[in-house]
Amino acid sequence: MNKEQKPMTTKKPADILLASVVTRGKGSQLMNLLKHEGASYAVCTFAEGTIPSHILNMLGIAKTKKELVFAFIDQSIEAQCYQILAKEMKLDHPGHGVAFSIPLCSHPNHQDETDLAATFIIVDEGKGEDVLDVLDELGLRGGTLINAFGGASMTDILFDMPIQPEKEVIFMVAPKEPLIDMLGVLDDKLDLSQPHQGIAVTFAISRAIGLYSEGKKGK
Amino acid sequence: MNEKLKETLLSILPITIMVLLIHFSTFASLDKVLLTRFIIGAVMMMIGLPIFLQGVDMSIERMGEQMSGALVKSNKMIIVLIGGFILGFLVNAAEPDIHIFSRQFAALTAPDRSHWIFVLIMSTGFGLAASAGLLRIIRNIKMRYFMAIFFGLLFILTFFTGEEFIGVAFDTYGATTGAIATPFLLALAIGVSSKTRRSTDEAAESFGILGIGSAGAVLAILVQGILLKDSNVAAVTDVAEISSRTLSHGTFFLQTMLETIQEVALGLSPILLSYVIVAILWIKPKKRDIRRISVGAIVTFLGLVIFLTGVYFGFLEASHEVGTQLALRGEMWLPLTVGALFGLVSVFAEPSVAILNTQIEEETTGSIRGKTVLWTLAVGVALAVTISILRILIPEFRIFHALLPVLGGIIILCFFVPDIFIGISVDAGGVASGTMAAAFILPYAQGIAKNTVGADPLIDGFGVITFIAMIPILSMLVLGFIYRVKARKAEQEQTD
Repeated sequence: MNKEQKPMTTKKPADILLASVVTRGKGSQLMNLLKHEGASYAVCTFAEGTIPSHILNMLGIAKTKKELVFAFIDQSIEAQCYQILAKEMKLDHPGHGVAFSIPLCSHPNHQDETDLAATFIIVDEGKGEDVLDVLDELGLRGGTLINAFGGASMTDILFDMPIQPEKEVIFMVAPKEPLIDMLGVLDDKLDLSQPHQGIAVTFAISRAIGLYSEGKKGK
Repeated sequence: MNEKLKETLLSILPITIMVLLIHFSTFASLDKVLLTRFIIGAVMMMIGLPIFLQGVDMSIERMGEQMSGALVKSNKMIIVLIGGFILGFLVNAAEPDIHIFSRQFAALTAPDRSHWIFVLIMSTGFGLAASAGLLRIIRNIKMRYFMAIFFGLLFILTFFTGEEFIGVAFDTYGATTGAIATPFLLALAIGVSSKTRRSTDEAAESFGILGIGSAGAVLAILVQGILLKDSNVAAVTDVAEISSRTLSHGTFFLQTMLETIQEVALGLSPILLSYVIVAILWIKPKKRDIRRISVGAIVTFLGLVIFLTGVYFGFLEASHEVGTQLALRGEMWLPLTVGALFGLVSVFAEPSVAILNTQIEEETTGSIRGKTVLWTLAVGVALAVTISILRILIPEFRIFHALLPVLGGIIILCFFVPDIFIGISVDAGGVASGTMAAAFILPYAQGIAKNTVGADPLIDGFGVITFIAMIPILSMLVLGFIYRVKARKAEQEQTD
């Protein structure tokens, strides 16, 4: 599924996962910028963004085409990377995309933890919009949707052959508190604690750019 | 929204500018009536195209996807096959171009018979082949074998078919998949493919159903011609003379729009009806989906009516006039060059091409860029139009002189390109020969044929669509071949 996979060797081990959501077509440029700064690895995949608008959502045209980039970088170049992203990709302006860091290991020097968190919710294909509805009710808007395959067990058999079930991944950045509340609500509504219903996880975020207004994500 | 505007301008502006350039260069100047209509038409296309594409995204693709889900969930191959046949049959039988071609067909070969017989034959061929295409996707049979067999049969049958008949029969390939059938069948096939995937690298199997279906329709018509031995051209009634200049703008506009409304309603109805039946019985869609699909269907309808009215109102006669005037100048290079350029820019404005390109990008996660496909198709169509015009200008240049090498090239090349390109290329053929080919390129070619000594507008007119369908297949396969060579080189460099 990955568009570009070019592992490069760097001396320092990467300790930050820099995730970024930008408009379709800008992913390659972003990957090049990050690699130029010294990112050890970058992959890009297609995703869909949701716009926080009720009217558009009702009409079903709330989806916009996005690209999702994951890059592994060292903490020493993190600040530089964000400067470049602000300058070249205009992420510090509204509507140009977001980027944020997920620390890969607890780093003693890592002081600048934000009050933001990221969440990944993996559910069966078709249930992604239900999840977005739940999030919407909680005031959490602007998730990103990724189509994916796979599961814990390949139990699905169709036409006498085992298949990879389709999944949807919802991915969102928001303040920590509502996100943690969200896990409980989501469990109630979608029975996530039952087997084979889906998974939701949250991560702490150490730095972010391009997020706007409280409780909402810019994209 | 900015992106959408840019996309629309990039698709419609090239063709508009091209015609205006020819007008102002006085190689072929349009009169006031035609120029006004042309500009109104272009504006309508710019408004209609994004609306139509938005509607397709909301409804047609979703219906195809959900119906693929219903078919797959039955877990019975026979249901998938029958479902595939019925959908393929209905969608094809409702295609407006199929009716136009069937009428011409009936007039050519069997004036005493109803054109519905031919609609039936083509749609059966299409349905059977589309059903086989679904079987192929589920069973993971390689597209190249399918392609080699289908095109091999076409190649052989061409030898047994009368020359006048070849062009008409192969034109069916382009007529089968229009702007509504294309997104629906693509979504259906992609849905079936992604729901029965054993590993994630099976995206290559998603494409090919449109092309297989179209090839099936052509096969059916060729077999019919041979079996009934009526490939002798009967007394030919002339194609409808295009002349609406005597009508006022308003009358002509209304008349065009009414015809378009009928056309689009006919095309949409089998998809909507079969979806409603399947939805009530099996899918049981959520409220959100029902709302979205119904709004989307209206948006699709409006968008396509505006777009097509624009094309028929402004472009059809303008290109015919340009063709006429260029032919009358008597210089060979002029109609050839303009034809090639028209072919190139008409691809950008073709809605089906835009839909296929989006699906290709989505399915390959961007590893095959829509822009690359677009340019490859554009070059293919430019070449196709050049060949067609040459055929008109040089009477000794027969249709099979070009068709047989092209078919042979396709059969050989499909053993030397990556899997994904084979499915994409057969689909691309039917998609490239859509609305713009029928309503812009064809009238241009007919305009030239009518005013060239020794050319027969009817015989030479048939076969134009044939090449616009076949040569893009070849050009896509060549692109696939280039990809393979490049990938090999990159591999070698890595191992070095």
